[in-house]
Amino acid sequence: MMTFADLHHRRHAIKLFIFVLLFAIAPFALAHTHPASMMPAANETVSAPDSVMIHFTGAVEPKFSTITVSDATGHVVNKEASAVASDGKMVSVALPKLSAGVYTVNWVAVSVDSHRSQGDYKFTVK
Amino acid sequence: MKGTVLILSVLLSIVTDSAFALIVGTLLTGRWLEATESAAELSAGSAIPIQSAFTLRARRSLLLGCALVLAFAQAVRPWFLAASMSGSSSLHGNLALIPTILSSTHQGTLWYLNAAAIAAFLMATVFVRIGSTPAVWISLTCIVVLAFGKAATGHAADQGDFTLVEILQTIHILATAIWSGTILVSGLLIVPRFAQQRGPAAVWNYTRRLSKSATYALIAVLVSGIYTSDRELNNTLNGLWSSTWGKILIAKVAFVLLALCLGAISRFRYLGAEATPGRSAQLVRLLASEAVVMIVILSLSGLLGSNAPPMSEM
Repeated sequence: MMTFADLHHRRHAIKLFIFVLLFAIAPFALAHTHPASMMPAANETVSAPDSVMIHFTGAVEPKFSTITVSDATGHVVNKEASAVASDGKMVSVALPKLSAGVYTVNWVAVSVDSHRSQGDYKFTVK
Repeated sequence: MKGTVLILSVLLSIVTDSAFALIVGTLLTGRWLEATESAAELSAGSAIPIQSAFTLRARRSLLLGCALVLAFAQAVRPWFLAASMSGSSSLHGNLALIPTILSSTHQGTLWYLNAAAIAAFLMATVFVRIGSTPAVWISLTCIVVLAFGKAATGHAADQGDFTLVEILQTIHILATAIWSGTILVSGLLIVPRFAQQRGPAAVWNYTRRLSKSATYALIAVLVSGIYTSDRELNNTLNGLWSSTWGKILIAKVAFVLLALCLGAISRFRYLGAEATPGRSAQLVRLLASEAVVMIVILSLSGLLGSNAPPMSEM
């Protein structure tokens, strides 16, 4: 005859099995690449930087992933196009000498699984 | 991707995954039938050939149909890739991006690899006799290449190619196709005909083989799945009940559990007992239900692939 303890153990075993199953059958989900670290960081106040660099969580497609930096009036300040480093995860854009003010970084990242994500953040030049 | 484009893209992924599973299922069950046939020939002659449950002609038609579905999906895929990468639904705008995608992206390189595998498989199905040694090797190579292609075009590739995650994902895709494909083909085509033509004993013999293979495939699905999904599910358990992704995942878990229960019932309740016509009819219905559940699982997988887990929506 099944005791209460048996039933208790069985319930735990079933819960554990469902939990394992959750992990096991989830892998077909897509993953959007997003920034792991930014330089300058979001909302940081810095001396005029030479460039903006974003390190993404996964490899990105160089032809479709970009960074643009614009000033408070919305005018794009970077003269050169952004470039992707050879590891595929670091995107950077060179900047001319920036004057003091608030700047917005707009980024678009297309991960190697073809999914696009985008975002923006601000930093201040003192 | 929005609206219609997203729906079409989900449908395309469900149809291609199902076609791939059916190809794997057809080839594998075909091998089992051939092996059973030669064993039966050795022991005693039989009036009805075992393979009449799934004739060479039927197998060829199914393989050809599935391969044509894969070829069509492959032909339209660049446009959907362009829509995904550009975030636009513009027909002409995305058409203009296709040369760039095919020439200079990771997806483009893999598109050529997958297209070559599909073309080789189509040629082999049309020109090489099914079941012959060259056909087996060509098919096997194409299937492994296609599974790798699917793994490498998914998120498993975001840390580079030929990584452990990508290889395990390839195994996961192959094992899923074996599990779902053999159950689909057996439950809907082979077992009902077996029951009709050869009686309960033959159904029992065949289903034992199916059950064994499904168990091994399922173990491979679970082990490879646990490793590859760990990264994204870790941070999303809280959002499981609130996000669309989480709800689809829960539905998929429920249907996988249902398939496991049906599999366990057929294995322990029926195959453990004596083969009788009454039980045989019930087992046929059980396997057909399992095949229908498998179609739901394949559809939910397609839906799951088009939704981002909550942690990614940053």
